[in-house]
Amino acid sequence: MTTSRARATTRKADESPGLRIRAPFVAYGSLFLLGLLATVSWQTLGDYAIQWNQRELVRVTSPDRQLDAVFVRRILPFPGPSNALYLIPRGDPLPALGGVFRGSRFHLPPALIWKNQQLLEVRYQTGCVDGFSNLWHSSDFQSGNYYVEVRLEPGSTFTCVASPPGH
Amino acid sequence: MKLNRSQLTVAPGLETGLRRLAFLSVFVMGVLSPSLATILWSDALSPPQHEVARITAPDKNHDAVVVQVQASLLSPEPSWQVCMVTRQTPAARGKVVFSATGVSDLTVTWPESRLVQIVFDRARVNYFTNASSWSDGDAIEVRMAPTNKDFSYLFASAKAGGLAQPPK
Repeated sequence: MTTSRARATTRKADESPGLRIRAPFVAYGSLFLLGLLATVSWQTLGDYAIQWNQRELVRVTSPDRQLDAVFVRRILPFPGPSNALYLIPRGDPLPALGGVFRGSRFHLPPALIWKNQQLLEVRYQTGCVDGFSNLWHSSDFQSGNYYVEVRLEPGSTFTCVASPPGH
Repeated sequence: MKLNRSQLTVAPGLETGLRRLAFLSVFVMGVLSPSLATILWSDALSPPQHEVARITAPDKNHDAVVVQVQASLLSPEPSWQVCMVTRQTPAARGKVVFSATGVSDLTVTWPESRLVQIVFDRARVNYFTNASSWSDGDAIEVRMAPTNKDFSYLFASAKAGGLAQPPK
């Protein structure tokens, strides 16, 4: 009798507010996953917003009619880069990621010249280029075996920074 | 005096506050975990790098530093970087303007005090930006000058109508 009363007292004490502070692991795990999901959702929404916020200025199809080189400009000041160049399978809509470069201060769209089916030349007079990569290929296109090399051909000495006096 | 567990109690208001704080912390950890994982991953696996050359601008204000980055788990090939720094500053404090693998005959020159030229025979350029600026408003234009007039990285196919491919 005494023992069972003592057990009941202990159980009562274990349910005191001080010990209830330890929330179940499942609740913490769910919250962590919710935070992770929030980040992923935010990034996905951001991608949609970037995709929606671009206007195509130039689209030039490659000589073998497989790819389009597309230069875009941002419509609203946010989100996304001011300008970008994409290589996409012919006729596809614009993506939000994976551009050949991000750009800004392009007063005029660059000339996109396919020197051959796998070599694209980008000629421009003014513009700042960032995140440029000279090799494009996509695992979604021709099983990743189709490569395109891109070259930048600035038409003046200073295309991005202000020309020093004397230029 | 020894306290047993049943005597360690927290006031109900404080308990609620602490629980909310714990929930909020776990949620924030979830939000930040992708960024933290990326930072930890890249820092933990950042390969050793060493300065190969330092070329000073004609006006002696800036250096263009060529850095060789060893192969690592993140990048199985060694890569080459060009960093822009104020004169005699370590490359690590500068801005990377060029990063490439498979580079041959890399040369960096200063045709003018505000213009850096990166000349190479072959390179797979992973990153390039054509400007480097500093907080004081100073800015340098950067340009690439591949010596090949045709492909700089791909190799044209020997077969007629075949696709150009990267080096094996």
